Amino acid sequence: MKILAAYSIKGGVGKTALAVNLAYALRKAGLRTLLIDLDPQGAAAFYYRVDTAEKFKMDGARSLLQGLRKNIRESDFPGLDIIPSNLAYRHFDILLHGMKKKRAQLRSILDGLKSDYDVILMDCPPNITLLSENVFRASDALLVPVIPTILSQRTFEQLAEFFEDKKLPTEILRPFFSMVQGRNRMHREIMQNLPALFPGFLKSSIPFSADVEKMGVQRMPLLAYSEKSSAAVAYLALCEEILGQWDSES
Amino acid sequence: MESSESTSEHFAFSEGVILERLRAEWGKRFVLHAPESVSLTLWDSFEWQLWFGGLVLYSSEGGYHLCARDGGWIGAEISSEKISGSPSRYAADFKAPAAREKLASLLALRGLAPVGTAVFRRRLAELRNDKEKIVCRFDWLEVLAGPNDREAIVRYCRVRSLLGYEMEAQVAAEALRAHGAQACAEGPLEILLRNACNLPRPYSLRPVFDVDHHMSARDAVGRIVRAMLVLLRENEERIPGDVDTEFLHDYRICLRKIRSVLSLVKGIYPEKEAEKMRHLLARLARETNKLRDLDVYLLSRERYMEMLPPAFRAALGAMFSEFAAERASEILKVTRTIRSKAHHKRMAELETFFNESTVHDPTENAFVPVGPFVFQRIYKRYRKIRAIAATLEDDAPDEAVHQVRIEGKKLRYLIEFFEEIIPTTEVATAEKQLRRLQAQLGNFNDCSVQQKALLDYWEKKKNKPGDQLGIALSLGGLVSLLHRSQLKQRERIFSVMNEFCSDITAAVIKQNFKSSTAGPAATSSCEPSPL
Repeated sequence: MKILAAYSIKGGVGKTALAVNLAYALRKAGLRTLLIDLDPQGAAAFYYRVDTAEKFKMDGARSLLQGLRKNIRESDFPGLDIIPSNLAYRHFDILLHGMKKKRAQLRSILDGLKSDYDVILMDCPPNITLLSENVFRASDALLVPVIPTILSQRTFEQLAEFFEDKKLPTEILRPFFSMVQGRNRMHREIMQNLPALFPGFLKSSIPFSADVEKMGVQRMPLLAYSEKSSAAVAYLALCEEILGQWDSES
Repeated sequence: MESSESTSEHFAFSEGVILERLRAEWGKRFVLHAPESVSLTLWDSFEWQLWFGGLVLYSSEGGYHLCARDGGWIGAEISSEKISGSPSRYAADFKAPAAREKLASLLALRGLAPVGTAVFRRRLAELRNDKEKIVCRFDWLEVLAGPNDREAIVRYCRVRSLLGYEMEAQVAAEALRAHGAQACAEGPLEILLRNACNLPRPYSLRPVFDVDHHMSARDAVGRIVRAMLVLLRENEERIPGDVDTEFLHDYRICLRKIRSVLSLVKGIYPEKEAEKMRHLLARLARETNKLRDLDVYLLSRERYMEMLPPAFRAALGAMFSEFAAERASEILKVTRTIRSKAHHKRMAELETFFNESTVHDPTENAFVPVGPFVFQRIYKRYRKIRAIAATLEDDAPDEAVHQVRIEGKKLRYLIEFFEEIIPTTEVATAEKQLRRLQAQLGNFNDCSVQQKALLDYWEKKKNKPGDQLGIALSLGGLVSLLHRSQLKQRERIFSVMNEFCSDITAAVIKQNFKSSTAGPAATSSCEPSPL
């Protein structure tokens, strides 16, 4: 089982759109996929028409796994399940604080689901907390959307520095360009220079598209209602690239 | 461990108006998709290996579809492919690697044949909640048969809950019940097969004979033979269809087993009559000897080809083509024989002889309790094998080794026939050793028979026009490889034989079979009470 996370320190960079569409693409590639919406805003589950999670006890690793299991919801697309968000996830940090190996607990909790899924994909809140650090240690790859702007580039560099400072595995960082506007000269320049500085940069990029915004109206992944749109094609290509990397690793 | 599988419930209906009622009840939340009709033919082997292996293979609209079997329903598709040319009969005929691999592991030498056909009219539907999220799925299915496939022989609905929405599925199932739906255990595949009068049933050449320790030997032998005769008939009637080689193989085994039981437990029927039956059985087997030999050669085609370097294979290919042509005419000959009046008469004679109501004169062992009687035979057989084995030196002639095989086979058949009354747990190790010995002796014998067959073929060919050198090279190569293999088998035979004839095994056999009172308390006689 592989664990992926869609993560960015900065909000509004296409992180949830990535999680929603990549989960769909992975399931379409034949992988049993679980999407966990860890962001208290609950947008990923909203796009799949799934209600917020029921409350459950969070007083240890065992109860956390049971609570997550209890909240698994089958999506409208066979092979893809969702654990919706819950405001109580704000308390993850407090819970993790109280545990042994508090920085690496999440992986062992998620391992409890490995007989049921080939991939777990987490949509993470845009901050750096103990939960984020657990996500970093649990993930096989951290997918970081980077809008080709100075500000977005800076936040990615901050993340990379954080990884180095905390001696986190930088090789899991998989940045990629998101909301790309080909006509924008700054976008083009950053896209030319930044990947050279980070070897894990994915080749696929997601174009800016009004179709993605319509997901809120359709309440389903872009890939489910507009498979041929440029952004949908880009998500599929990104999925292919990730699967290709796994193949070559194995 | 908690399961994260969704569940499904099956319902059957007597009439088709329920969809309209549900639509009226659930309104827009009930989304009904357009119906699709598909004519479907199910395929399986005679032994139902796909069904019991959890698979469904069906052909429809020019394609094969191999799927998982979900109870009586078609489950997730594993592979599909177009039908090109004549129908695929064997695993190797399929193009999709997943199908080839799965089918090969289940079918071995068995072939596929249609087992039932029907039209499935399918309509998918779903129930959504107030957020328009699907909370329950429905699979409506009508199995159509009759003239022009217009008559619905059954109407089904499968209600499938989605994980996390089980309560909603329960409510939906309740609504179906309120509209007259009835829970059912059988799925559409079972209905299709029932309609075709062809329900899956396990097949074994080792059926349950329902023999017990105290019943009379004649009664026990009668039960064994009658059960084998049923199997014999099932296989016999399918030989002409020639779906695979196993019908003939199993037919011959049935003949051999019936003959064996008559030889192994003598004094059950008047000897002259029993002798006549043995002759009859031998004759029936002889009629198919040539066809079976050709089957054996042709089945080893790939193995032989792989044994030789590519340059030597052409001449061998020609030999197999000859065998294939010969087989084509031989199967017709056997078919004619099986359908002949004389054959029917012989079979009827056999069946009448062993019929429960046929009265035979009393004989020496007819009414003795079968348990002690058979145990004695088993013990005698084992001792005989041990005695022969003790005389065998490493360089014993092949015929002497072959003699052990014949005696071993007799013992194996005795154990198989009377498996229900022998202490299987106690003698399990000895049985295992015997099986191993027989397998080894079988390989040894195969090598010897195959060398002889190849040399016979050469004798026939050597003075005829053709690629003599090519034939000589490939046959010579094969014979020497088979000879080397036979020598290796011989070494192994002695080590397995030593195990089976060891003092430990001998003690186990003695303890369990020697005394005629071994096993449950025996009664002195099972003489039927005078009428």
